Amino acid sequence: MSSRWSCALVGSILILLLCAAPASAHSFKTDGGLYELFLEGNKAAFLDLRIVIGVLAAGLLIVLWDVEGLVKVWLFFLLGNGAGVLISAAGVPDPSFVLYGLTLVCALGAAAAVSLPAIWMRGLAFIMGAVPVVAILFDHTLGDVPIGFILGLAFGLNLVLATASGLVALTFQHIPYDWVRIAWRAIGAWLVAITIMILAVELAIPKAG
Amino acid sequence: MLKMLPCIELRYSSLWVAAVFAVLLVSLGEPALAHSGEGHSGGFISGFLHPIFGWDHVVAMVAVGLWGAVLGSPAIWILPIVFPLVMAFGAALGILGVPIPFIEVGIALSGLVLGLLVAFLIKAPMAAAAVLVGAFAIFHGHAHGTELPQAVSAYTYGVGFVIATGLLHAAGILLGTLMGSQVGRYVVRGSGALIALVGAAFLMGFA
Repeated sequence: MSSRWSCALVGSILILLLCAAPASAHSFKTDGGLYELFLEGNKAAFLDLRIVIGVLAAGLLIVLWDVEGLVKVWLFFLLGNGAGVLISAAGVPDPSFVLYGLTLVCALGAAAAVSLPAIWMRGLAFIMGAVPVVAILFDHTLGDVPIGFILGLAFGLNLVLATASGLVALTFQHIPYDWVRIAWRAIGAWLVAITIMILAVELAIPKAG
Repeated sequence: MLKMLPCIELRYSSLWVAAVFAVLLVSLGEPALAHSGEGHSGGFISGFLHPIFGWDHVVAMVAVGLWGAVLGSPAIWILPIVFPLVMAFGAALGILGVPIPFIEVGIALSGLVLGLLVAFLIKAPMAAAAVLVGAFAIFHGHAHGTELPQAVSAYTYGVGFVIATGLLHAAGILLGTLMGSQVGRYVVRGSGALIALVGAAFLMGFA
């Protein structure tokens, strides 16, 4: 796939991000020592189920695409984290629905075991690195989010990604049967199902859960 | 049929029989009522137990796995993927308050029809099987979505409910692996007949 299409995809998602409906801000502690803030950032990454599911789906898709895929796209995920901090500082609205859309794309891609070109996977890794950060930091100005929190958040997101990808890759390397791949694809389908339900709850009962 | 599952061969049949019975025994356990079940853990537990403690749901979901095993590859993995996907769509309709008629009839019918398909080892084209299973999944999903408890976390409820459904399919697939032996084949067909009976009992209002 040409880089023109990739740029169009990234551009479309950024436009969606800017058009997303506003919602109330997330609250997290912004005072305390570096370590406390780092842990607070970890907590924000680990305890937000919609973000955990999104990053898990991305990790699953990456390894189903290529067993060493994480190494190939991780840099772009990290760059996405950085971009997310900058985008959130621009005052964008809540990107929750963009995150659900991306989670569906990743989980459906994993369930269908689609083989995307490397450039698409890098683009997806970048966006999946950025959107969760924006989802947590939106409605906060850059100056009011301490560096410790941002580092903790990025560490937490990367830990979830690495754990998901590492676990899937490990099973591929140590359990060399076809059904292992199928089982992971089934789990991709579960992630789609969970996301559809969460999306329905969000639409029916705003801010439930 | 079981080329997809090379580790599951007749030499392991006793182990698999034990595993299947263990899963069935676990599913027969009484619910613990000591905790109030609010918040994230309550949401997960509530969602997880919802399909497991409704026998009309249990038999149909086990039957999906069983029928997949009867049909062989690729149905053995496609049906358990189709079911949760379409079920989530049905759940979304239920959560959003979109009405679907004859939900209880559809759920009972799913047990009866899928049970008969297993009992008579009926083969169907992949597309037809997926459409049939998907159609039944909408009824099950709608029921779960409509009954979504307000007191618990909706997110974790969804996680628990999808995982429980997947595990019930896995129980059916495990039971279906017994098809490799003559005795196992009788066990599978008998299970199908039992599922059909349970479905018929719900359909006629006996359960």
